[in-house]
Parts: sequence; structure tokens; C-alpha cells
Amino acid sequence: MSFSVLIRIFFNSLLLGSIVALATLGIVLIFRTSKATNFAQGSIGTMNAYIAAYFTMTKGYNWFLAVFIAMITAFLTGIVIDKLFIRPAKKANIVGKQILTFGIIMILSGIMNSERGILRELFPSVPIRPDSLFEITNQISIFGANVEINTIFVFSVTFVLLAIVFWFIQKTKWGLATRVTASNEETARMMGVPTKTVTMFSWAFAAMLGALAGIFLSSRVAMDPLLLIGVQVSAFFAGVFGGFATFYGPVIAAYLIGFLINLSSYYAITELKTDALYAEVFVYFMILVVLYFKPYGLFGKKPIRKV
Amino acid sequence: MEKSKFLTKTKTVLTKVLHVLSKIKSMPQVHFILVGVFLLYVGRNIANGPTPPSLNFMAEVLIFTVAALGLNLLLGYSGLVSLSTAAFIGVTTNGINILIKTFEFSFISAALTMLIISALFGLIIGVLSLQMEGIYLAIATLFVGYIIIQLFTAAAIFNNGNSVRIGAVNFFGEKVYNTLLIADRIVLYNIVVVCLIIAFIITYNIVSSPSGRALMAISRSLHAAEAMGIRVKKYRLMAFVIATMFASFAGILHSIYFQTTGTADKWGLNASLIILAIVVIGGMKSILGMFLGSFIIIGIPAFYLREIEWFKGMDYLLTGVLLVLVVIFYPYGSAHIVYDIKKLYYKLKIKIKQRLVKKND
Repeated sequence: MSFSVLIRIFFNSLLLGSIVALATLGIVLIFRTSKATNFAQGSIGTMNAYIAAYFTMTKGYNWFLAVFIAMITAFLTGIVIDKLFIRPAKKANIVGKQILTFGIIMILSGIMNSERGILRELFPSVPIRPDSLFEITNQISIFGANVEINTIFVFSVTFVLLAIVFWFIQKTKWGLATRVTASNEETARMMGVPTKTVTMFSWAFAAMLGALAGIFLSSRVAMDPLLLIGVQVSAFFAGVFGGFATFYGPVIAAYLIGFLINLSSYYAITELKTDALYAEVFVYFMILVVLYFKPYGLFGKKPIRKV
Repeated sequence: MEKSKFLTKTKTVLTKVLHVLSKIKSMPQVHFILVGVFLLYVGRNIANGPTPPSLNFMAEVLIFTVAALGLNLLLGYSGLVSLSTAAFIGVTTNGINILIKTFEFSFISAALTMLIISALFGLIIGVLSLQMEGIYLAIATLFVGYIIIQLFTAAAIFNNGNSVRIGAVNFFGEKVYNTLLIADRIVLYNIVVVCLIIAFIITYNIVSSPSGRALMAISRSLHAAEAMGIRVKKYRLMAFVIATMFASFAGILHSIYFQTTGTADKWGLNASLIILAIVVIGGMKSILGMFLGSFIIIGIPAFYLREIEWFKGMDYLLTGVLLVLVVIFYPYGSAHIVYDIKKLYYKLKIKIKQRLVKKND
């Protein structure tokens, strides 16, 4: 394996890793603030990615404008979901909330598969492929490896975004409210933190992160209602591998898993001449073994609980 | 003199018989058998009706009920989540296919072998569960399910995740049952119903046994149960093994009725979530509730929503709405609707009585 191949694999996994990291951060945010395992993260993201695709492909808008509109709709989607579904289900336990998000998946994919009125134009039944900001042929050479500009763009956007998020969570008043809500909602509410608003905005923000992941992925693979299902599963794995206890752990784990899978897939295809799926299975199996010895993730700590 | 003696004797006998009858009436096993008889009746009616494929939907409802019974033991009685239930159904159907076609097992021996193999799989997840809990355990089981599904898709021996026919099922002797023939299909359906009743009774017996009580204690409070001297690790392993065996049983029923392995995608995360939804919707710790939940999630869209013209192509959406509504209004499961109806009945009764008393005054 030459150095340039390694560089190429590294940059390829940066793209997938960024997409998974965005989805993971949304899942962790929601899990920490509303104690719900959000299976609907992928569906919410896909729906809003469709909206961005509609404005770029059918209406011919500028890419940035279309993404901006999609961000606004994602924000609204998150707020609507929190207001309409999550908040009324106060009595439901943690598994009940999982099922609630599963119900949301069903509703959203019902909307996406619908053939009525405007929905038909917004969510076409044939797979579509919206243009990305940079063409795939737009490449530069780094250490002898051809790297797409799109990859660098996605990674830098993700990096800046994550940096802003972490700064927001660590340094601002609202971030403090988020952290307090995440650690103990009841006490936070007693101390005067508006936990309801925090939860609502974390749903909205998670939806925006998911939508961005969907938009980045849609320039790579053809778009259908199941676009983000694979990413979402990887995002869950990254969340557990990095540990739900911190916000940065899952993000690092997302990049790590992406790199490991790409590396082992390359090895499996070129050296062992087998299916790349076996490489994925092997990596996941190894992660499972690691999790057996570190059950709360690489960066996680054991939660302290009263008896 | 003789006559009065005879009368008292018959009276005592009658009261004894009535007592025994009321005892039988309150036995849960009898309820299960009554539900089974009802299902047999429904199956016969559907099979003779205008659209025979709906018998397939009914069979699917029953098969998912069996899988949900296992998950209910895990979730309701011991508080552990598994997101790989459907994957084990797939393991069993594919395993039976391979055992019959490659190793030339008979159907019964293949089914029993797969039950044992699934128990081993359950043991693996159980060992994982000794370390993890909560969402970490849920995602770890998702890992296991995902690995299994990816293996199905990658390996040629599992037909690369495509669905293949296992072929007509031969239980004993020469008689072969083929699901493609309508006359045989009703027989297969009846077999599934009988197996479901057996699964109900087994679940009830497990729950009311000392082990079931221990599981319940663990689900309420792990530390309190430990302090009471319950060996938590042993019972966690047991719960996972039993749940996986139930999933495997569902797989056996799937290969009895549908006689296909099912695609790998069919047994993915979506199906596992459906089974989880059945448990939550049906009501944890309720046995007959599993059938109710399964019917709400799989049966109602298949039987009713598809028939109405206005709802065409929206059945998935409506199921989602139904799910959300049940979780919001009945967070402890739709089996609690029965209690609410009873409460309403008593309230009305009291109100009517009060009215009558007022009128008399």
C-alpha cells in the first residue's frame, strides 16, 4: 500500500466521517436533552435534503440559497416534532419514546412516498441526484493522490460547524443551559433553566444537522426516501463507540469508524479479493469486542446512579 | 323425604360444578385457547372469502406476535431492550433452508437444530448484556443484528440476501404441505395458530414461575433484586436465551407458513423496531396484548386502511399516526384500554344509579 493510496483513503473517509459525525451529533444532542433514542434522525434529514434538491433542481436556485431554505424547514420540522409528538408523550418511558420516533419515521416516509399535489413534485418517486456545489471532476492533487474539492469543502464546513457547536455548548449561557438539561433535567428546571425551550431547540438543531448530512450525501449517491438509513445506523454505532456521555466522543468515533471501514474495505478488495461487506462486518465485530471491555464507549464514563 | 335429599345432593353437585367452571373460566390458559379458537374461525372465514392473500397477512400478524412474546419477556419482565429480534427470525429461516437443502435434514430436526443454535446466539448477546445497559445495550444488539444482516447480504451460501423458497414442508410421513395450494394453506395456518397458543401458554408458565418472578424483580430495581439474593447475571442470560428462542420459533413458523427465507432487508432494523413497537403498543407484561399490538400495527393497515379509497398509499403514514397516538395516550400499552372501558362502565353505572335514586325521591 503506497502513501498516496493511504492519503486517498484518508480523504475519502473524511467525507463519510463528516456526514456520520453530523448525524451523530444530532442524535447525541437529542438523547442527552430529551432522553429519547432518535431513530427518525435519518428520515428528518432526508426529507429536508429533498427540499434542498427541489429548489436547486426544479426551481434552479443558487446552491447556498436552497441549502438556507432547507435549513429553515429543518428547523421548523424539529420544532413541530417536539411540540406535536415529544412533549405530549411526557408519561412515556425511554422505550416508548423510541417507538414514538419510529412512528415519526413512518409518518415522514408516508409523506415522502405520497403522490398528492405538491408532495409529488417535492418528493419524486424516481431516485434523483442533485448537483453538489463542486463537480466530482473538480479535483486537486495532494501528495500524489487525487482529492475532490467537494470532500475538502464538506470536511471544512463540518469542522467549522462542529467547532461553533462546541464553542456554543462550552462557552455561552444557552450552552450551559443545554449541558445542565443534559445532566439532570429535573434539577435544571427547578433552578430556573427553561428546559422545554432547550429541548425544543435541540430538536430543531439536530434536524438541521441531519438535513446537512443528507444534503452532503445526496451529491454522492442517488436520492430516495431511504437515503440516510445506512448513515443513521453508523451514527448510532459511532455514538456508542464514542460514548454518549460526551459531545466530542461520538464525533471522533464517527471519523475513526469511517477510516477503519474504508481502510479494511480497501484491504479486503485488493489483497484478499473478497466482498467489501466482510470488511465492514469485521470492523463492527471488533468494535463490539472493544465495547465488551469498555461498555460506556471510548470516551464515556460510567453514569453514577442512586439506588 | 327422599326427594328433598335428592334435591340437596344435586344442589351441592351443581354448586361444585359451577365453582369448577368459574375456576376454569378465570384460568388464563382457557383465555388463550379461546383466542386460538377465535383465530381458527377467523382464518377459515378469510380463506373462504374473496381475497385469500389476506390469510397471509393474518399469518404474519401471528408470527410477529410470537416474536413479540419473546421480546416482551425481555423488555416487560426484565427491562432489557433488544434491537436484533428480527435478525434471529432471519437466522432461523436461512438456517432451516441450508440444513434442509445442503445437509438433507428433515424439517422437524432442522427446526430443532435452529432452536438450539439461536439459543447460543442469545447467550452471546446475554454475555454482552452483563456489561452494558440502557441505550448502549440496545445499540450493541443492533450491532449484532446488523452484522448478521450484512453477512446474509455478502455470503453466497445465504443467496446474497435474496429470498428463496424452502419448499413444501413435510412434518411426518409422506404428506407434504405446500403453501401455494389454498387447501394446504389453511392447514398451515391452523398449525401456526396452535403453535401460537402453545407460545402463549409457555410464556404464561415462564412468567408465573419463580424465574419469571425473579425477572420481574430485576426489572423493577436491579439493586434491590441483587440485595434480595437474586442472581442477576444468571437471569439476564436466561432472559436473552428465551427471547432469542422465541424469535427462532417465529422463524420456524415463518418457514412453515410462507416457506421462504425472506430477504435480508426484511429482517433488518425496521422489522426489529416493528416488533419493539408491538410490545410497547400491546402493553408490556401483557400476554394477549401482544396479539392486540401486532394486529394494530400489521393487521389494521393490511386489512382495513388499504381497502378505503381515500387512504390509498397512505397506510404507512396512518400506522405511524396510530403508533404516536397510542404512545401519547396509552404509554403503558393498548391493553390498558380494557381497564379504561371498565372504568367508564362503572362510572356510567354509578351515574345511572344516582339518577334512579333521585327519581325515586
